[in-house]
Amino acid sequence: MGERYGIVYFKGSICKLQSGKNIRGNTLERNLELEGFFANVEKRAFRLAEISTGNRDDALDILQDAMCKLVDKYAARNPEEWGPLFHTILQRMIVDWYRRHAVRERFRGWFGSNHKDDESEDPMQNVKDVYGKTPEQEVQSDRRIAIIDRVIRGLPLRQQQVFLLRALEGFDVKQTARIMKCSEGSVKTHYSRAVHVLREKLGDGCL
Amino acid sequence: MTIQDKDKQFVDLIKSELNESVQNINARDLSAITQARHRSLDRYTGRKSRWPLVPAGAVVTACLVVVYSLMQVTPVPTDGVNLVQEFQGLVSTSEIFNFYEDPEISEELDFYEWLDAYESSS
Repeated sequence: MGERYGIVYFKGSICKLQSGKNIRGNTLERNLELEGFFANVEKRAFRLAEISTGNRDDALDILQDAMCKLVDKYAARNPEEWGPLFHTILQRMIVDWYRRHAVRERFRGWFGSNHKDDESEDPMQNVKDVYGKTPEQEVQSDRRIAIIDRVIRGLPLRQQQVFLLRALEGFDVKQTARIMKCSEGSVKTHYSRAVHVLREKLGDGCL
Repeated sequence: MTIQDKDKQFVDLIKSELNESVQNINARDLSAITQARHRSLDRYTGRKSRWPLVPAGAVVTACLVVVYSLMQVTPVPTDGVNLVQEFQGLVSTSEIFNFYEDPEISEELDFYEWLDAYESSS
């Protein structure tokens, strides 16, 4: 009887040890998967948030919040689902940012102070690293990007989101509709209008 | 060239510009992005490593609750003599009640009284 209990207990210990190892192993594996996923999407996501908000710090905050939310809520999900989920979170955060920003702007309007945040930025902080480009090319490229950013930012939010998800992230109509929780028809409409406005404002010769 | 083709060409140009801007993110922003990634991953590892402590914490809390509830219960008298006396008292009282309440005995009480008187006189 004692032996039997001993064996049962012994087997139980082994099981516990094995499952503990598995949990640690799974956590490490999942951590690596998450790191790989973030490393793959983070730059584009940052640019997307930066174009939408026009503010580097806000874009970084949005990016980090989106990453944390994905980790908190969806880390256990299948890694294939992370892409659409992450972009859904990111888009929601950008919409929230717009709402907060609109309220802030309204308050500023009431109190009569219309200073823009980017005026206080140190221009030397945004100097880009130059690899294999002449300063003239770099300036031209920067200028083009700045113009494109500004024109995209001027689009209505939904058009902006659809255009960036399709052009920058490379999602198709179906995926974009899923991320934005709207119909494929409205994605097509927003995209077509966005392209029309961009062509109108940038012109074919600008690029 | 159709409008669709022109649109596609235009969008491709914008795409290439945007892709280039992603490649040219400055070192300061890249570092901030990497930090953001690490912070979010630290949350994941931190949260996972805290989980094994939860069952232990639950067991300790349950033990404390049991101990506390045991301390709140009114102590039962453990004096053996007192218990026996109380029991005997209960028994005798019940006997008295039973005696007077037995209808057969109470009906023949007059007979026993007569018998006592008869025996004492004789």
